[in-house]
Amino acid sequence: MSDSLKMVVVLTLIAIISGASLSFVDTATREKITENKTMALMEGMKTLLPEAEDFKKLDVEKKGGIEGIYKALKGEKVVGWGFMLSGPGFQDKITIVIATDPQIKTLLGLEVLEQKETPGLGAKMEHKEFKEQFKGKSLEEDIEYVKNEKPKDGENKIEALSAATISTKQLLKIINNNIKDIKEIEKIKQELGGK
Amino acid sequence: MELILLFISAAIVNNFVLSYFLGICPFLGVSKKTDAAFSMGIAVTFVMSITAAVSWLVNNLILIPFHLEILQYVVFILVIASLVQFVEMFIKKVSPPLYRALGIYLPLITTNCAILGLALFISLREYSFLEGMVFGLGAGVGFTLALVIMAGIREDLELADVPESLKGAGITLIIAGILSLAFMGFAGLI
Amino acid sequence: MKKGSPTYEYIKGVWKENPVLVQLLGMCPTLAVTTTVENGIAMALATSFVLIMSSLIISAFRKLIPSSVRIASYIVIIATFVTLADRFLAANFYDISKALGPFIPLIIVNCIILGRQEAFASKNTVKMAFLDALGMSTGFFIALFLLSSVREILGNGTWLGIHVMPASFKPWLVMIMPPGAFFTLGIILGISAVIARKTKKGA
Repeated sequence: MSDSLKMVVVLTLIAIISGASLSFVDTATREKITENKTMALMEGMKTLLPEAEDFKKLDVEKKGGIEGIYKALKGEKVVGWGFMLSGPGFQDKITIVIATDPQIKTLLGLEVLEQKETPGLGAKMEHKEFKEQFKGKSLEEDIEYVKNEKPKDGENKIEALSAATISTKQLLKIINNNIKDIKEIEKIKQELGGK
Repeated sequence: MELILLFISAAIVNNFVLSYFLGICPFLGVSKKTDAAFSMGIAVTFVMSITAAVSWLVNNLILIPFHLEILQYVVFILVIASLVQFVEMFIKKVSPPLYRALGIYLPLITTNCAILGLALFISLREYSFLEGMVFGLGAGVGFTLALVIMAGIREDLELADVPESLKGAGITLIIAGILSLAFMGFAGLI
Repeated sequence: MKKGSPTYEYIKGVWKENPVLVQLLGMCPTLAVTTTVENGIAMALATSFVLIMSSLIISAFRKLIPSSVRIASYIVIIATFVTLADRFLAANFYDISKALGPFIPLIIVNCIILGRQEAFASKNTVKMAFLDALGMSTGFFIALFLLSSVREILGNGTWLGIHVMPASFKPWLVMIMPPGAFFTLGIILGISAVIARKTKKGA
């Protein structure tokens, strides 16, 4: 066999075997992986909206940091919304899920799904005390932050993570900007207007 | 504005070498003289920019539409290997002295984790084509910066009294640690 | 110990030619994922899998792969095994897969793997290639284990998630962050060099 032919044959064989084995691995693992990805999201939403019996995903084009829109249903009644949102953090992408009331006026709670912020600083956004602050905040105006002090009652503000202002700022941007975008989506407007 | 922040973030605040640990091998190997470091940095930046563009195109125009994401790693590394070959031939023709100066390090750019890391980040963070290019450029500039600074320090270190056991990789890593610490201070920039 | 004997080919990877501590290869993942012992072990195992499997295949087919396309062939074979390992982790150990992130695919460009194929597996029998890969994997494991233990204990007060430091201990956050990784590895390399010199003198 001439040298060039041998080269081509060997490379083609390797490519075929590689492609075949990868294709096999893909089919074997694809479902489980998608399941794993949504498991964290589902558990998050169940914690934030305990009365919901079912979550229906809305078929909406992915825009900006809107990763998924879920209608929380109890029977036929809408008991709230779950929004999976993402955006750049200080270090890498942050992915969260927030729960709101059916009219998208109040934030019922927040869960952090993925973050790679600085351990001990920005990573503290996963701590209960920080997340609790978001319960009850209004979504009709931007949520803001104050540093090194507790926000006054009635203010739509949260206390920033100590020494992690950028992580805090980015997190708030993810919520504020995407909520604005969500309210502009036709399907959402219909859902809200119909009530 | 966002693009400028992206550039500064990739180059300084989240420097590929000092924050993400990508590109350590050339960082330890080539950073002894500032000119070699600078040339390596330029070559890497060049390869990074093209890789950002090509990997984005292949990923978004072929792999994703045809549900071939499982082939991503194999395709990316083959793209990089080919690009490095082309860059090698290009530099050889355009500037033989540069080619000789970079020597063995040129083909080694293929195994530079910074290049593959760049392609993977762009895919993971779902950057747009423009964002990917800016990110690639910033990453390359940051890599060059880290390499040149380190080379400058090591040139001075030649005259210092380094403990025998720390000579070479040991002291370089400790200096890298100090540099990394310093660069963390840039966090307040953005 | 005779060079070329099976035992030698294995043992050399553990200390004398330790990929990280002596050959200074594979630094990127060593620094990046050693924030906890669990992550360090996971990365070491994943890398070992790819190294051993690739060495076995490339050694087995070494006479059939033409020299001109060997690097391209090695790369495709390595990338295939890495994709396998990545998918396996994502399906069965999702949390670890997320923690290791892009560093699993970066195993492809871990110089240790391509290095051993070029330097050893492509020129030796399957049995020897296996021992060589096993030895290098052991050495890599030791390096990661050491580094991540130091970083987790000093940076978080835990080891494999278990609290091992007294309650009054305030973790040195810097250990979990990039500077800590650089410093620790630098010092470990320094200590290895001292040990290497002392044992050479005594031998």
